[in-house]
Amino acid sequence: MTRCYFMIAVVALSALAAPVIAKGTYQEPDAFVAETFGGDPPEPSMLWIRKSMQRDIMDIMDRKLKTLRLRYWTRDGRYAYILEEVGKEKPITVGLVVREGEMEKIQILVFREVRGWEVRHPFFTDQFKGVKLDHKLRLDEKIDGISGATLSVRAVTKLARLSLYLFQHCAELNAEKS
Amino acid sequence: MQRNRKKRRFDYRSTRHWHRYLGLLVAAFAFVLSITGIMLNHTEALLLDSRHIKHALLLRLYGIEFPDERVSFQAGDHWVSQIADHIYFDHTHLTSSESPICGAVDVGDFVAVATADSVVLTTHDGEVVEILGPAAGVPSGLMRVGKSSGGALVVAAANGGAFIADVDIIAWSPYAGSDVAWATSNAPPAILVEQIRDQYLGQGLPLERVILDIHSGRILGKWGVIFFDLIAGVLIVLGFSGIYIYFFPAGRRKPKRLQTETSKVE
Repeated sequence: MTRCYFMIAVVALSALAAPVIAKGTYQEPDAFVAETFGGDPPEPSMLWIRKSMQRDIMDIMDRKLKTLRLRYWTRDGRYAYILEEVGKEKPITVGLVVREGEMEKIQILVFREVRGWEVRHPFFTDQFKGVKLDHKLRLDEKIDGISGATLSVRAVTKLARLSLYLFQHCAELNAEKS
Repeated sequence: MQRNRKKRRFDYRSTRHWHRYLGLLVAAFAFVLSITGIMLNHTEALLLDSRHIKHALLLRLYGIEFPDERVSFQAGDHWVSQIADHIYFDHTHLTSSESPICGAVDVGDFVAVATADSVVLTTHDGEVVEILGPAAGVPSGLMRVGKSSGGALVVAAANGGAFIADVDIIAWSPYAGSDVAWATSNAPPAILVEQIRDQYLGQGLPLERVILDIHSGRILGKWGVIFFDLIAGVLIVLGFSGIYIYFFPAGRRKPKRLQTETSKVE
């Protein structure tokens, strides 16, 4: 009987501790960039956000971008972004890699909310692999949600759309440069 | 003719007496509930949502106060101040940061505002250009921000290392020079403090919020809500006692003592 009570206490404590453990930095943003480019990250490039872009960004994010320029890293056709979006109350920092207009990788880097941390697991992030943006600036494939993590799912999906949108402009800019 | 006036005494067995005294007890609250209820039903017509109260006592009751602790730095022609979690560029809200501000400097086209974990780059119009964090090569645990003799942005981290930014503030490199003019906090002009105060406190409290809280009793805290629940309970009881008195008036009910005497005679 004592053993049974002990097991219940352990399970209850684990359930209480789960959100605390789940919150935190899973990977430093600079480490994500370094890992993406095989330990030798390229110099960062800048994309200045024009007014015409803000309209599309408003459509994607339901808000304007707070900054006038965005940093990205690119080499051999791969574009890496570190973007943030608020889930419920606090920003989720996400690393995203786009190649030839397709999502290659999404990784949750810093999660600050108490709920919704399930979005960091590959069963969720792997759904974005190969996803593209359609002409209405929406993802061309359906992303399954996670019950209890609706706002975090929404935030990550918005960032995926934003990174694919930014890719179009970054690629255009790089083509002009070359 | 002298009228023989009977002194009214409370008879706890009488529904009428309970009804009367409970009614007197809650009458004032019933007025408050009814008047605020009517006002809330016509929020738009009475413009309750667009009218604001700025009374200091009421704002204090809601915990809206302008903190005494604030830090300001002068960056060229501009002032950057932190009040609680809010950072202001002159008198406009720039961004929110839980980390303490450690300085602000004017670096050519930009104004750089450093907090312990990031550098917020703004234009001279107060528009955020970029928020530079660890991903942008900014070390964490920033302590100071300043300008080199060449006008470049320099930050110093808690571990003692200093880093200098390039002209466009994109890339950072370690810096060992001793020619850095570090930003120091200053007292901003009084008029600016007043403008920031107005921004911080906002427009004040919406009148609708205050009326809603009077209606629910929330204006007196959690006990106020419980008290108004009790008042509502008493009003329900009064409703039932009123119905009872209407259908069973005192004159049509035989007193128990009379009933027993009649049965004895029979």
